[in-house]
Amino acid sequence: MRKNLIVLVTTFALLLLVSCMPNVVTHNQLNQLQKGMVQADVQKKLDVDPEGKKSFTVEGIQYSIEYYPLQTAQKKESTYRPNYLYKSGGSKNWADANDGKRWIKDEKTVDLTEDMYCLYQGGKLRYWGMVGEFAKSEDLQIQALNSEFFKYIRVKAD
Amino acid sequence: MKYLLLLTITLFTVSCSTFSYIEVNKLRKGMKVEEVNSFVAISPKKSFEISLPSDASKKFSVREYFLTLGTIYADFYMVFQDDKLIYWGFPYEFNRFPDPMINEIGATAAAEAQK
Repeated sequence: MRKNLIVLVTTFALLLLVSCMPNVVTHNQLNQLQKGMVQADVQKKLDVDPEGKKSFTVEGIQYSIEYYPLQTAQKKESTYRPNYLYKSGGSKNWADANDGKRWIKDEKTVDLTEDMYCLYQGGKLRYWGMVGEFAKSEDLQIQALNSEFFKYIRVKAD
Repeated sequence: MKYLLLLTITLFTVSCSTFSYIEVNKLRKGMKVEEVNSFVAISPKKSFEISLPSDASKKFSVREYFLTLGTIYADFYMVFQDDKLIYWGFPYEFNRFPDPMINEIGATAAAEAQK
């Protein structure tokens, strides 16, 4: 019984911990990336699993891309729920007896994200950024690769 | 009374000042620090000099800002050589640039900024 309780509490604590972990990459995390890093090191720095991976070959050279959600802004979202007062027996009334408010406002901060791509050449980080950054890259090799790269990017439905 | 009004206006202006893409889009290569200051209303978070480990004779002046992206902030560098703006961007933009000198400036500036 006691063992079951420990397992239950540990599972709950782990779930709570995971739900509190950030699931987006920030600009300041991107700053820690360096050319030549391997995928495992990149994932460690970004502290988020990639949302997807793809591979392709150009002129015999193996490339792979991983995409991550990059935090580009934040916004506050408000929702309202009725301020019901439940009575014994299950019936409910508007909460005149509580604080007089008919609706309760719930507010949360939501991250706005854009896809950020890490491009690996032979398993090593070659370039990273949002799609637009690939498109305007000063790097001649990236410019030459773009037509192929753009075939593999994920276009967001929204 | 006049001074109080002036102080209020100054405090209001300073408190509303940010560094955002509006200012970033005005940056041009070759600008002097004075020119940049004319439209960037806030002071840099840090300002320091660096020289490159590979060539100590190359000296640069770095200004580190907080760039406002809506309600979030990100580090942003401006690098001057002989009082002329040579490159600017997020530190990661320095790291991925094709010119190794820009990579080295970014790495050296990041190390100096952390001191």
